[in-house]
Amino acid sequence: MKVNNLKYLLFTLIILTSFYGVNAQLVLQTFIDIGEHNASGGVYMKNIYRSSYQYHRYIFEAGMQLDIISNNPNALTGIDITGSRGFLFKDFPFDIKGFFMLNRFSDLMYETNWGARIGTRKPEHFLFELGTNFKTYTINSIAREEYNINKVDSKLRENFNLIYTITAYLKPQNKDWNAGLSCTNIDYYIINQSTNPVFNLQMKYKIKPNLTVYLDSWFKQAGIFNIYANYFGYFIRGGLKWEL
Amino acid sequence: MGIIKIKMILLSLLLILSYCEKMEMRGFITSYENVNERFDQSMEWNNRNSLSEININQRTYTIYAMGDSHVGGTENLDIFFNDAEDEKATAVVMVGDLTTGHKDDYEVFSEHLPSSDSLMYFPIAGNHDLYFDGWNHYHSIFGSSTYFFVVNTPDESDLFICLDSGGGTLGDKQLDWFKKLLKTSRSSYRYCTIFTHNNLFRLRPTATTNPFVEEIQVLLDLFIRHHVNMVVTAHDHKRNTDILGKTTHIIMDALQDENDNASYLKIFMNEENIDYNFVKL
Repeated sequence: MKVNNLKYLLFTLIILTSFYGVNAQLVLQTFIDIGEHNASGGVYMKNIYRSSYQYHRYIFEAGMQLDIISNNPNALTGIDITGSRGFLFKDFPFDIKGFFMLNRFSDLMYETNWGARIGTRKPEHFLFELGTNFKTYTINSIAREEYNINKVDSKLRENFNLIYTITAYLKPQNKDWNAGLSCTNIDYYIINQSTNPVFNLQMKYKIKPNLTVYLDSWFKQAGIFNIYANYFGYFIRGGLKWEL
Repeated sequence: MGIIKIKMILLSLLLILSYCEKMEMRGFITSYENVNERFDQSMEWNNRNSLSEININQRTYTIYAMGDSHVGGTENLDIFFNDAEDEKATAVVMVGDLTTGHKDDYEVFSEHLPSSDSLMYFPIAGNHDLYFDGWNHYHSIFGSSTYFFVVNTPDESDLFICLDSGGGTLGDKQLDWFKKLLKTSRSSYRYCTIFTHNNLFRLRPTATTNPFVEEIQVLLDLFIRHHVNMVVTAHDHKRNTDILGKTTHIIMDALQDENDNASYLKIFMNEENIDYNFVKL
């Protein structure tokens, strides 16, 4: 692990332990993505740490992504913050989330996304989420100086984009083990256009009442359903979720 | 079943069938050939044919570009070629979706191509050109969809790179080739212009598809690092422009006859800068 990665990891653990003792639900999660795609220049490995803090119907969630193997010179390559509130309309539960994510995909540029989505886990074999995001590509100040770029030309804002997740589970979601198939255009640090769906097969197993292991397999096919289908990439995600 | 329901079903079937003539459902799920295979065939063709190098006597010159002609119809295509010949364009670049992929349409397109003695032309495959096994027709007529050409003025040389994004991705082989080309050659040229079919940004509400974000991110990094001056794309059928860093990103209107806002692009390679304007048909 790079020295910088270790520093970020320790920093996160310090932040997280400061929450401990608060009378509310705290969930810690870590996972590793291993995969490759047409633009990755070989196999990549990323390590993600997330924590969520629930107080009544409010959930605050934050995470960060560290690149262990990649063609990105940055160590810390992603940060995200999410705030959500649960609602109950008659017997229908749903939650509304607002989020911000930063993707430091290069030492010259970064990408930010703001957005909101509404989701429900009813019926109990399904997860539905629908929302929108606003993406901005920005050239950082170091690159602006090095390449003599005007600040006014350093941002490109895209039009709003539709985001969605549809997941079908084999068993009700509160069971100890489960498997599911998901179609989405959003991940923690990547948001693709709505016409670029990504498919993933998920499995989880609760090894202790408060500890769950999970394994996902993500498959990306460029142009599927709308242009001219070509393989793009895949990755495997394996992780642990610990409810404190 | 009511007569209105039957009429609605028949109308829907008619719409689906007419849609299928232009869009091949098979291509949405699987491809006849993948982007790496097309790249290999393009490179084989490039190796058999010499690099296109255009030598001109003027210090300024004009490149014409168009995309999404979707032949069938050839009215706008003829105007485009005639204007380019009349105004002595240095070259024309045709940025994909030239046809619907049908063999007949490729044949019609070929019949309307000007002689390469009178006008240098550079094509790229778009997604529609690949439907109905269209790559075979494209390859037999044009040869390559990944290549570069050079224009030499008395004082300077400019680099033009054509990339195949018809499958919604450049693929790893083509991306490596592109990276190496920029790294080894970009600094030898004054201007660098990229042409590819698939637009990179979502600049308006639209259902057309960009490449995956991971690929766009790598390309944007390369554009800054290697001072790419202009990226010309099509695919979205409606013009849009934006600037990011030193790179001007242009999405062209569709040239196809049915498009009320059909236009083509003139790129002026001046001594101080690159300028452009759209010519409405």
